[in-house]
Amino acid sequence: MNHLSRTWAVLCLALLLGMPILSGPALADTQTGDTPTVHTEVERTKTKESKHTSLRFLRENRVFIRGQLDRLRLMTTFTREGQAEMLDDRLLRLQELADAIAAARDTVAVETAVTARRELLDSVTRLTELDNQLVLMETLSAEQKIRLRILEEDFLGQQETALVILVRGLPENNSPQGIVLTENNEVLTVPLTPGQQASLRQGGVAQIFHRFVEPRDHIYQVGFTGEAWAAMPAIEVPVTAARDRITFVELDLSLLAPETPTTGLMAKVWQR
Amino acid sequence: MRTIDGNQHPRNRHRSTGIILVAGLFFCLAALLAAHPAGAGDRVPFSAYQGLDLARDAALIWADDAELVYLENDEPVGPDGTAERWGYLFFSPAAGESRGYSLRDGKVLEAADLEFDLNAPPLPKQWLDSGEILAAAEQAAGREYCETYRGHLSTMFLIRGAFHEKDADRSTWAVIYTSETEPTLLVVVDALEGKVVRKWKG
Repeated sequence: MNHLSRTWAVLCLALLLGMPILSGPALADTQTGDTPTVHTEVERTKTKESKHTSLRFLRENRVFIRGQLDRLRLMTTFTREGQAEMLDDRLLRLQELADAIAAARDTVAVETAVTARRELLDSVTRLTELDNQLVLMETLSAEQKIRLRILEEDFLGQQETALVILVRGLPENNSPQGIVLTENNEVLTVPLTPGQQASLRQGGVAQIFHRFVEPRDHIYQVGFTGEAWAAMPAIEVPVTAARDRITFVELDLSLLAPETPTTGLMAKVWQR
Repeated sequence: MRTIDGNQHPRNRHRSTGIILVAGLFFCLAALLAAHPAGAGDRVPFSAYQGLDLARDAALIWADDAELVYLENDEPVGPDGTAERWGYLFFSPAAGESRGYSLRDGKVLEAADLEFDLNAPPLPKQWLDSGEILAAAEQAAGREYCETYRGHLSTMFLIRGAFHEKDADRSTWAVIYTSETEPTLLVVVDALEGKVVRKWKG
């Protein structure tokens, strides 16, 4: 037994003494080489389980259907017709509106000049003139409102489904450095500059997302960057994007804290 | 409680009648619930063409060159050719990708990319709706198949070129009937004229 223990002790000592010699060149390479360390990791793709199976027959019989399609050949022909096109009436109306606005502006300028020249209202006649001027201003203002309504109706008629995400407020201390918005595989990172952070703390509003989206239920994961915030799990914000409307989502971060992620985020949704 | 002559006491008779009535009501309610599960009764079936506008709107947001290449019922088709859910597949030539939209109750229930290449040509703007196509298929062979072999309609799908024997450029609906005892029946109907162009079992 003693003999065996002594043998083990000798072997261990030999290994310890030999280690610097064995690892010397490798260590030297690591310290002097400029090659960066590359770490490759393989993960299995996470497939999203669908709650509602769609296009089931196509999926189950795709070999059969594709076999039928493989027998086809696409012949694409491009044809253009060189005929004149009708001009959109709205373009003409826009020009009319612009002319009317210019005329109204001239009128306002003239009336302003007249008012500036008037130093003293010393007679009833002048009061009447002033009254007439006010009536004129009101008329011009009403006409301007009509023009704005025409433009707004035209704009609303053309509206496509869109989503705007706004951010309001920030915690006083230890604010996040940025916002990470994720839907499926699409990740949008919006850094917040110190100026923007200060503005948000004082009640400012920032737009972090404005895009056309599919008219359906979306679930956005809202995460944050920053020291304590990066480890915080993303918060799910469900949004229903109504067809042909702009959906606004306002995220109020003023009460958010990394320790209580689920209770601090307040979301307000409205549509136009 | 029984009286001496063996007849039931009137109060007990009323109680028994009440219990029977309550039990009857309960069974009626249970039968109604079984026939119409919660939520399902609110869903409005619609034809394939009725959902096209919404599906196209959604697809054009995904890709502005998106074209409809295929559609299929996602829920069983009724005798009038309507279903509670239809699936529409669009293809973007620029992106080289396909995306499917499943519609129910006037909303996009689900949108997902197709995980394989289909390479189907785009469907034309106009095509006959599912109700008219189903009527043609039923008259041609479907009704007889169902009655003879206790079959049922399983799937309707619209595609261009794949199943028209004479003119590959034509779009066709394929109406598929299945039975436990007989091979599947496939009735192909021209999507523009409504004529049955092909029938086969397999």
